Amino acid sequence: MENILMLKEHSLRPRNFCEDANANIVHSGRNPMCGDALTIYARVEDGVVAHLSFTGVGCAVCMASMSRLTEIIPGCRVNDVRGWGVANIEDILGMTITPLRVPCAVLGLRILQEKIGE
Amino acid sequence: MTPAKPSLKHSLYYDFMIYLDFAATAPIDTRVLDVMVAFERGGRGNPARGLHALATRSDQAVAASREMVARFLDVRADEVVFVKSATEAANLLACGYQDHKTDEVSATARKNIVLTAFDHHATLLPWTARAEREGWELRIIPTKDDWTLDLEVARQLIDQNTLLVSAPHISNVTGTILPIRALADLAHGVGAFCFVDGAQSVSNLPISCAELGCDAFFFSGHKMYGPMGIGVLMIRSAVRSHLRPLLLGGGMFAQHPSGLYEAGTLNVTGIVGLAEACRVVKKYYDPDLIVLLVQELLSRQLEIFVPPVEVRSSIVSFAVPGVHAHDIAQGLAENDIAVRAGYHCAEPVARQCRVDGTVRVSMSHTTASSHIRGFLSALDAVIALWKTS
Repeated sequence: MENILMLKEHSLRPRNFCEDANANIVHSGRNPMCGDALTIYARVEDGVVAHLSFTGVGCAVCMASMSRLTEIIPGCRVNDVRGWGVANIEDILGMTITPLRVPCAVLGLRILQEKIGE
Repeated sequence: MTPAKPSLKHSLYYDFMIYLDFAATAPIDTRVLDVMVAFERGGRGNPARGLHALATRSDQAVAASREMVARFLDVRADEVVFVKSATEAANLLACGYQDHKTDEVSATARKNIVLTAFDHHATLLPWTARAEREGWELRIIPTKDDWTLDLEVARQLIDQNTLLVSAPHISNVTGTILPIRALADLAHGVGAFCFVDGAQSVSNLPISCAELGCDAFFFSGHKMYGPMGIGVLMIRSAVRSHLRPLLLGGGMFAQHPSGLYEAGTLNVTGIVGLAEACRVVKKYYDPDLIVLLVQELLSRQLEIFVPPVEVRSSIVSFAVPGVHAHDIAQGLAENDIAVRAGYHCAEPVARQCRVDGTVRVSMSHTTASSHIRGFLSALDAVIALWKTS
């Protein structure tokens, strides 16, 4: 029940849900199965993600996972984040992601990974 | 006397869950399963490839199945081609169709093909790719506000330069029954073909391709209580002479005219099961339950995307404002209720309903009012979970 409440809290009131004029990475992506669409704003300095925010629309899993990532990723090394996957999202949300919702859960992470370290 | 078990209830899952996802796939009917098992137990050979008893047995099974499917569609047996799915049938048409108007249309006129906003990706994507390759104009007949097809616009879009019109018989998003006869008449009036995606209609309506007036009609077995991995493409001879095969290989020069499109060893077990499904599908959903469901959803101030009653089928799509369709479906799934959510592989019309997709309920003849009540009760609980902060 605790994880459901966290999912609900982060999907209804996502953290760092804003544009960032100082971001050096701005990138968008979409889940074609259901229309989840996010734009991420990242500040990467010396191989470290210093700040992360996002805007967009999506289901609870999509929004909550991105919201939690904006809390957890800042301070992490780019090389580490590039290796993250659905297992990290499951740890962060404290729940198992069913196969159909994996694209929702990893959308924000995938968008970030497409651009960091280029 | 022990009451007979409903024929669909062979799986433990269907005994305890509320299954309202028949538009995605329907559970295999036990009678279908029985004939498939009996066929395999009786021994199989490779059809059209041997003189021995088992090859002959497979030959006969395919021939009898072809007859059964032909009766189901109200066509001739030599117009029935077995494919693996409706998607393969759509691709066979879109890749194999050869321009049949080379002499009729001025060389300078740009040719066009006409689809509908209701089209599933199975037809939309292959025809879009083909139109791009050929330089044909792709025209889309829009929906009206009441989720019916805009026939007035169709009359303007279908012209002397139209090669073909392709439409679903029933929309897999709104459940709208499309006016196929009218589209076929418009197409034939300008010498164009009319192709119909029957994936959703075969389990919803009695089918007569003669009455529909279409030149090609296709469907999958698994949506009509048959096995997965088998489907049918019905093609009239007028189309056949302008249709190249998709696959080349053994068996395509068999005596049967459909052999041209059936290269490779046939899925005889699937064919036998599909034919049995065609034989046993005689009951359809209860329209009163659709009325009940629509009334109940409306009373909850939800967004509902259904056409007028006279062109409605067993599908109801809706959205809960402020709650994503996937979250509704996930919540229902946790209550052992199966529905579908998202774009339903028909993005144009699904996005027209809601940019973030819809929740789709689809019924069969096994759906009872108790299932609808159970669904509504769970839906209320899911909405309450997401609406209370």
